[in-house]
Formats: sequence, C-alpha cells, structure tokens
Amino acid sequence: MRPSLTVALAAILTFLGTDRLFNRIAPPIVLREVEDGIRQFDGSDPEVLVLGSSHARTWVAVGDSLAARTGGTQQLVAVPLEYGKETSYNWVFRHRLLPIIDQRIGTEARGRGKLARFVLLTEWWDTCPFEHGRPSFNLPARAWRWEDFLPDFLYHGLTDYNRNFLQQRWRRMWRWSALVWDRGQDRILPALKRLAVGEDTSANRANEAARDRTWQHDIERGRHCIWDPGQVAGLREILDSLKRLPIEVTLVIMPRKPATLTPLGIDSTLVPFADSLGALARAYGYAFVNMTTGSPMANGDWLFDNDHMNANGNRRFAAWALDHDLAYLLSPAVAPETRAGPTTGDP
Amino acid sequence: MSLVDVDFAFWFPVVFGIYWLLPRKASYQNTLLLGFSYLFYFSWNPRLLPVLLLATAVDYGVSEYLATHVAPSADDSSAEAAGRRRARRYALILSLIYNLGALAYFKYAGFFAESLNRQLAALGFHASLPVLQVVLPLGISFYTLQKLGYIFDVYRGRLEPCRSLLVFTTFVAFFPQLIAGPISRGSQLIPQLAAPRQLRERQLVEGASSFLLGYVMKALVADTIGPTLVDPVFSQPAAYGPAAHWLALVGYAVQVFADFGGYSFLAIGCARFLGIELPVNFDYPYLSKSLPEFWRRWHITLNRWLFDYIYDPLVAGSGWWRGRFDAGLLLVFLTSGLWHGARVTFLVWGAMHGTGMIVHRHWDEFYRSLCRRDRAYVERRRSVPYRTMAWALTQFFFLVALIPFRAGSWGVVQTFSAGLLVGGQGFPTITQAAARVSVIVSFAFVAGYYLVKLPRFEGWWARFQALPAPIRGAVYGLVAVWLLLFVPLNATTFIYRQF
Repeated sequence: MRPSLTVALAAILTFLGTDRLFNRIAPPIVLREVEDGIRQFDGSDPEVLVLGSSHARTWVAVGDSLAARTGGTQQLVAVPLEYGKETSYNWVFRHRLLPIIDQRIGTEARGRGKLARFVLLTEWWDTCPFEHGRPSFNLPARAWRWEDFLPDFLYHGLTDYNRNFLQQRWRRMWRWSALVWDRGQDRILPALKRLAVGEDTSANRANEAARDRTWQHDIERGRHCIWDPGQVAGLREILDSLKRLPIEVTLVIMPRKPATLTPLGIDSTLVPFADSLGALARAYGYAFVNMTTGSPMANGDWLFDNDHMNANGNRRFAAWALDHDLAYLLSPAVAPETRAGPTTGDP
Repeated sequence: MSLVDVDFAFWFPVVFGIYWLLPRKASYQNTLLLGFSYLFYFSWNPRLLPVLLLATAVDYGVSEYLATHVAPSADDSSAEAAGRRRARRYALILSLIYNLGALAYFKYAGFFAESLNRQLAALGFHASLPVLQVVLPLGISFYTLQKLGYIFDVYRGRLEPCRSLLVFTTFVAFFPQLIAGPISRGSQLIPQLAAPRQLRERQLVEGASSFLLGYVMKALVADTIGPTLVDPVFSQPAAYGPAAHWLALVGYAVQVFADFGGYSFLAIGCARFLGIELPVNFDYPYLSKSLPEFWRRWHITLNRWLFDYIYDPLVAGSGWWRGRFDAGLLLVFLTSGLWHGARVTFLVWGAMHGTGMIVHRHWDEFYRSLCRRDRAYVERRRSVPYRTMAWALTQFFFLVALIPFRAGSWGVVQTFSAGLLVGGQGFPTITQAAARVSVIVSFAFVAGYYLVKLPRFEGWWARFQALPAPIRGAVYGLVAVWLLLFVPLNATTFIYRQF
C-alpha cells in the first residue's frame, strides 16, 4: 500500500478508536430538537401537541406515561425549541406546526385528525427580549430547514445568524462521534479527569452552590425584562392563530428547582409573570396551569444546570402531573367551538 | 465563509469532488472554480459581488487593449510608435485610477474625511466633510494588488497578456486566496490556470499537511492566545502590570503570525487540493537576524509586490527618486502601513519599519566598510554572539512596532507603551483548565515549528518522517483528537481579512 494511504488510514483508525473510547467514557447526549418533534408529529396523529423551550423535553416522559395510562388512546408529541422566547415559538408554530395542523384539522380537512389539545409551555424568560439585541441564534440552528436557509442565504449571504443552521446540521451529521458532539458540551475532559483523579465532591458542592446563586440572581433580575412588548406580541400571535382551530389550549408554567428560588425572585418575577400569563389565558378563554412552586419536585430532580429535570425527575414529574394538574389529559378532549376572540380585555 | 468555518467543511468537499470528477480540461476546471469562487464571495455579501465583477472587467479590458496595442521597440522613434506608447500609458493610467480609486473610496475615504475634519477643527473651521460609512469589500486590498501587478507586468512586457476571459477572471477570483492572499503574480498563477490540472498524490499530501498546519495555527494557536492573553490587556492596558503587557505583546506576535501565517497555509493547502501552487507567504520570519531578512520572510508576497512595483521603479528610474534609497524605503513602508488600514497607528507602524530599514541600511554599509578594512569583521559577523544580538534586536524591534499595529488608537499606544514599564497589578486570568493547557500547547507548538528549522534540530522532522507510516498516521489522528478537544469553540475572524 502507498505510504500516504497508510498514513491516512492509520490517522482515521486512530481517530475512530479514540472516539469509540470516549464514547464509552462520556457517551454523547443527543437531545430532542424541533425537527425530531416535527418528524414525530408529521409521522403520527397525536391527540396532544406540546410546544415549549428545552423544558418540553420533559414532556416526552409525560407522553410516555400518558400513553401507558390510557392504553395508547392518548398520544402526545413534544416539540422543544432550545432557548425558548415567544417570538421563536411563534415562528416554529407558524412555519413548522401550523401547516401540518391545517392539513389535519384546519379548514382543508376539518375533523380528520385526532389533534384535540395544544399545550404551550412558557415561562418568564420567554417574555424577556433577546440579550443585547442579539437575534435568536437557536431558531436557524434548531428550527430551520434548507428551504428556510436558502432564501436567507441568497438575500444576505452567509451571516453569523444563518450560519447557525449549517453548524447544527454539521453537528447532527456527526452525532455518532463523541469527539465532535462534545464540542460545546465539554463532557469528555471532565470525565477523563474523574477517571484520573476521582470525583472532587467538595468542588462539586461549591460549584452547585455558585450555580444556585447565579440562577437566583437571574430570576430576581427577570423582573426588569418580563413581559417585553415584542415577545408578548409573538405570544399573542400564537394565541390568535389557535382561536380558529377547534382544539383545547392550555398555557403551562413548569416547576422550577427549589434551590433557585428566593422570596424576591418569586415575588418580583415569577408571581407577576404568572399573573399576567393567567390573565392573558383567561382573556382568550384558554386553560392555565402554573406549576412553578406548587409541585413536589425536589432539588435532586434537576440536572447540574439547574434548569432541566434529570431522567428520574422527568419520571417523577410525569407521574405527579398526570395525577394532579395535567390529569385532564387522561380523558378525551371536548372540542371547543372556534373562538371569536378574547373574552375579556387586555390584562 | 472562511477557511476554518464549518460552512467551508460543507462546501469544500463538494468543490473538490466535482472538480476532480470533471474531464481534465482547463475550461471545465476553470468554469467550476470561477463559479465556486463567486459563490464564495457572494456568501460574504451578495451586494458587493458587482464590485469584484466590475474590477475584473476593467482590468481585463485594459489587458486586452495592451494585447492588441503591442509596445513598439525601444529604438522606434516614429510618431506612430509614440502614439502607441501614449495610448498604452493611458490604458495603464485608467487601470491605476480605477483600482486605486476603488481602494481609496472603499478603504480610505472615511479616514481622510475624518482626518481633514480634525485638521479643519484645529484651525478653527467647523464646516466638516461628510464621513462616508461604506462597507469594505472583502479582499479588495489583496485582489487590487494582484490585478495591478498583472497590469504592470503586461505593460512592461514582462508578461504575455492573458487573452482568455475565463482564465483571467479565475486568476482574480480564485477563492483560496481571494480574501487574504497570498498575492499571486500573473506569471505564476495564470499559466497554471491555463493548463489542465492533474490529480497528483504528492500534491494532495502536501495540501493536507499545509491545511492541517494552517488549521492548527489559526484555530488552536491564534484563537487561544488572542482572547486569553492579548485582547484583555490591549482593551484595558491601565489595569494590567508590566509582565502582563510583555506577555500580551509576545502573545500578539505569536497570534498575528499564527493567524495570518495560518491563513496562508490554509490557502496554499486548499489550492494544492485543486492542483494549483500558490506562492509561499511566510518563511519562518521569527528566525530573521535583520529587518530586510524579516521582510523577505514575512508576508512575502506583499513585500515583494511593494519592492517590485514601487521601490525598484522609483529608485532605479529616472526622476527625483533615482538613487534615493532611504526615501524609497520610507515610502514603501508607509504604503504598507496605509495598505493595512486607514488608521494613523498603521502609518506610525509603517514609519517605524521604514526608519528601521534605513538605519539597518546605513549600519550595513558602515559594517561593510569595516569588513573591507579588516577581514576580522567578516568573521565577527558570522559569530554566535553577533548573530544572537542581531536576532534579538530584530525581534525586539518587530515586537515594539507591533504596539501601534495592534492598538486601535494613539491613546492605547501611549498607555500600553507606558504599561510595559510601570502600571497596574493585573494579570490575565484563565479560569478554564483546558484553556490553560491550550495556551501552553500553543506556545509550545509555535516554538516547535521554529525549532525544527534550526540547524541543531532540523533532523527531528526528518526523523519523524522516517517513522513507519502507521505510526505517523496515528500521530496525525491524535492531533485531530487533540484539536477537537482543545480548539476554542468560536473561531474568530482572520486578522488580515479586515485589511
């Protein structure tokens, strides 16, 4: 064999071998994204459709539990959009979900689909504007298709914004590779360190306490940005679009890790936000479920990021929620009349 | 799109695949290269592609004119010959006006208007000129010089005019070098584009080596050292102590070499994948023992261009400039400073290097006179202490001159320069362990890159190359693993792309 070919082959084999090794040490965590949710929605006929931020991933467990409890008669599809924001939900709803919904139960094919419930998961963060005026980088990365990317590229060229679409495509092409997938997640090096020197529990505790404080401050600061007019307009557009559909709509606020909550955060950010969202839901005649502080979830149910529930937390949440606030999902929906508009004035 | 962006990883395999699947005919290959080169440019800013198209059209027109109006022989003094000479000169002037005019408009109009406004204000006049806010077309500084060099060569009869529009447009727009060089000569690139290219294993291997080297330089070295050691100190010099300043300065020297040298290696590697050789742009500049040697090793294609098309014609010409070597050197480096950007600090940088070159020229003349009197001076010049001192002085001068090059304003130049001696107590902190490792590895990589070029260590690389192929392959594989683990996540823009 030619030496250069042998060199290339040896390089590839070394890379793949190391990658396999790292796959065992720190297996890639491939998260559910918008396109996974859309693909499932497109290929099935669920009764419940859930749109939300990364927290909507927890609802996969809710869907599993719901299907198990109802003998499969109630199916749920969750569409999670990383980073949230109402304007981003609105884009996903209008460009990705509504065309499929319209095919199922819209004006063209009324009554042919099973879809009867729509759940919008949202929280205070979604109504804050994008930081420093930056656009939603997660929208092109996680919700665009080639047909969304190409017109943008032809008009603007490659920009920092639309490049996110390509980056995410590139990453998903390599999702078998621990090394490529680890870029930005940084799990391999800490795993190697743990293997070499063991777990540093005191440092972990200190880090967790620091992360708790950061979250507490973030939530407390949220009072300055919630209910941004631009984001609320995006939310209203979704709610307006849903009015013409014969489906039951619920606005849901997910539980928060108890350690991230302070009295100031609750009183100044979470409660005012929940009050505003509840009032908006009532104005539209939609159901509203606020689980921010009312769930039995404990600190141990969350991942290290303080934002997302771990696997055990997902299961605990699904079991509890279907017994309590989400118990209504267990029974078939009664299709509401197509609504004429908000039943009360603006909140 | 840049050569280290993820979109390039989508794009280049497509170019490479189609390019080598095509019949090996120059016209097919050039059509494809041109199409992809324009797409490459379009991807940056669709609205400024016409600027490149127009610039190409103007110079192709001038080139065609020069081709059809052949220069008369030097001893032909007829009226018809004089008319033809005049017509050719007008064609050259047209190209100069267009190219330099476009450069002046896009790159310098704002700078000159602002400078004039300041001068007028200082004199008590408050009527200010409107300052243009125009987007600088990517690569305009590079492709303008490339086209001008071609037109000069054709005008002087050093180069046969390129009659093929396809070859000429590909020569101007060839994507690996379009945005940041190397600045190719027509005599080097056009013949390669005019002939069909063949897929050669050796060229592929060399292309891969060059690309890998460039990638490590840019993505690991430059993008690690810049944000960790350089940017914090230059953005707030008063907050940091002298040690931090010196480290930032050395770090910037490493960063700018790794960034621009890295881009050149990437471009050369890409071109080799397509069967084309681009000129070398960096030749171990930090081993230089004099400023002239430094400028023969650093951004080689730009400096050759400046000396071939500005310095030589002036000092060897017939006008006032003839024989005025010092003035010529100063002009060349002021031009180089201005070429880098419309900022006073770049002019200061150029003036420093111009002055340094003049001082060196006189020192060299003086030392040669000593050598002529006493041959011991020749040996002294070859001695290790002399060479070490010469190296240290050259590198120190380059380092100090980097301050105005990097500083965004004259105020930063002053604060940073003072901070080299006295100042705050701060030192850049790198919180992540992986970033600390990357900083050390980056410095070690650049040091190793230079070490293997030194006589004492030059056998190391040969010894590595003599290792069995599987072992070498395993090393390259581990380098790829290392890069994925340690290369910073968000690549920064190439420094020279903005010039």
